[in-house]
Amino acid sequence: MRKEPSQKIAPKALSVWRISGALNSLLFLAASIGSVVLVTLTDLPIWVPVVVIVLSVLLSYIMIQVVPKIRYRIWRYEVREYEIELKFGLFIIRRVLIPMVRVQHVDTKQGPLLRHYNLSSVTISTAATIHEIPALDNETADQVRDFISNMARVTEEDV
Amino acid sequence: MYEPTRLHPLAAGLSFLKMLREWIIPLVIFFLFGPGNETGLTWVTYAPFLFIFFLAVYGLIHWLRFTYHIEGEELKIEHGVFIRKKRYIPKKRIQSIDYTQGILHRMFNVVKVNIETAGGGAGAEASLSAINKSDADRLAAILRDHGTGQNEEEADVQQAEELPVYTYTLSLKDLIIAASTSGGLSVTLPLVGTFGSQLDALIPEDFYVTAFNWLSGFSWIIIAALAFFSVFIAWFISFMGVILKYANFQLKRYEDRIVITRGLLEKRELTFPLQRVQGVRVVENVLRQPFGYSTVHVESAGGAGPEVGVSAMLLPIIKRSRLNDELKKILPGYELPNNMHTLPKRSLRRYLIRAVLPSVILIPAFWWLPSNLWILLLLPIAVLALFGVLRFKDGQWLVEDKTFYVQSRLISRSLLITEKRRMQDFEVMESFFQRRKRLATIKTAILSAGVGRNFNLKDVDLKDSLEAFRWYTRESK
Repeated sequence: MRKEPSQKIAPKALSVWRISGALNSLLFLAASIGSVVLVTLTDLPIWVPVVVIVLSVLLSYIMIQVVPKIRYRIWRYEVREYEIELKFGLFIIRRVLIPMVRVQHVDTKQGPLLRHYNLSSVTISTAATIHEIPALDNETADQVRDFISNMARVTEEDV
Repeated sequence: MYEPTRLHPLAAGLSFLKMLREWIIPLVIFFLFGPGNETGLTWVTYAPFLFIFFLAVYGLIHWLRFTYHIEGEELKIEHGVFIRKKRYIPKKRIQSIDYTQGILHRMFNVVKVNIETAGGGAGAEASLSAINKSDADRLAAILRDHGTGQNEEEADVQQAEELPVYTYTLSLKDLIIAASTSGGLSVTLPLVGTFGSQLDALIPEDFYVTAFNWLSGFSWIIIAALAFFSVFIAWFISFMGVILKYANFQLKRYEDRIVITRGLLEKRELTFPLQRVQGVRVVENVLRQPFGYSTVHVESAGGAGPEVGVSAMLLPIIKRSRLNDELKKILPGYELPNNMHTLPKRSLRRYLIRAVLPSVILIPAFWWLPSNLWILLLLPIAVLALFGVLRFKDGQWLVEDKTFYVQSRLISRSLLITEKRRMQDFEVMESFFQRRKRLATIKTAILSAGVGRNFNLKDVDLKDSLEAFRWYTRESK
């Protein structure tokens, strides 16, 4: 069996994902409220809002608690001299190899949530694909970006 | 030549035809589905003709306003109907000048001159849509002579005289086979159907009643004949399309590049350097595979020069048995492998389920179909299942030295041959269900016509897929 990539992403990623999960589950909250309103205004059977609320609570729990935990546990990356290896996923686990020679550019970026936690994501673009390491603390992200952009420039094809 | 000169008057007609072609679909739609006579507004009926007239006038003005001349070391082109545009191209920047001739050009003995400059991106080039052949030759001679001395002139001559290493010409027999099995039917058949349904409007109604009464006796035969007739028309249109496109197909392999020329009415020429080739695809559609024929496409990345990325037909049709002989001469290193890895037996079930799954949309049909006709539904399900089996059987892959082969099928069978250094990335994906059966999906991306194109193969043995992963890694250990 192949060894896992060595690096984990920042543990604070967990908080970020939980918050964005919570934001997304506002939609379920809205659906729950909507179903209650409907049942008071119309003669909709009572079990409809019950089902909606139970489902909403369940899905919200999954989105806020379960999904971030699994994603965080699986996320690994490793930046080596000639290539970058990623391993991530939830239901489908993906292992990706990106050779340095193929890297066209590499960016770091952060949204408001990431900025609040002093995190950045690193985006690695080849001519054909774009990959992202989602949450690294700012310092690591800058290091990774600089290292990749340096290596991508100097590496000659080994063919 | 040194004074602002207009193009040959044919240019006016050509720009009119070009605009007409761009507008043909809206116009046809207007004719077929437009308001017709019901509105009572006569101008609505004539609007399309007015519009066509307007296009003709536009073409004429376009020609009147388009001038070119050489001043000093520059080619100056001035044009534009509403907005006047001037483009000055320094002679030194010009990389290539070539002519093309459509059928109209031939009738008037004129050529279209394409002038390409290095780099610069879109719009850095110019084309003169119709010039007398002799004028074009003079112009080209002046533009090529950019005062830098004799050396470049010689280099040009040398390049012009360079002979191809190998030339492949498509035979008439192959062209006809390619045209009749192209599978373009799937595109043209719906079109014929639409036109056919519009014929209704042209036939007087009482004709229908009489005809229907007369025909209802043998309606099945009539329906069958009509169906056959439309299929034939659709097939013929797609047949002619391929003939027009690939007649006179010739591939010339030079030391460092491939030049493909093709076309019956309009001659097309395509050049791409060998070092930008990203991969080769061998595609066999369901009509061709049983007869052992396949087509070969080449994927090429755009370079810094005037060449743009292409995804082009390398061999429009070829017997699979002759494929390696030709590929060896045209693109050595991109030959068919002898034996590829097949998928493990346990993937078959997943392939079958995936293939048959779409038939759930047929379930409601059980209710409204007459009691024992539900048996008819088994046919589409059987066809889907058959494709599932074929996809499983044709799912093959191989890594060999520096080359990666991956074959898969949706409808047509398609084999990608590429090199490790051309692959933009490599990926192994396992879903929850695949993990339980120790299967994985392998995926790579290559550059094709300037954009990424993914190739994947589902349900490969997990151990094998990780081996491929190991092959792709550049780790020193």
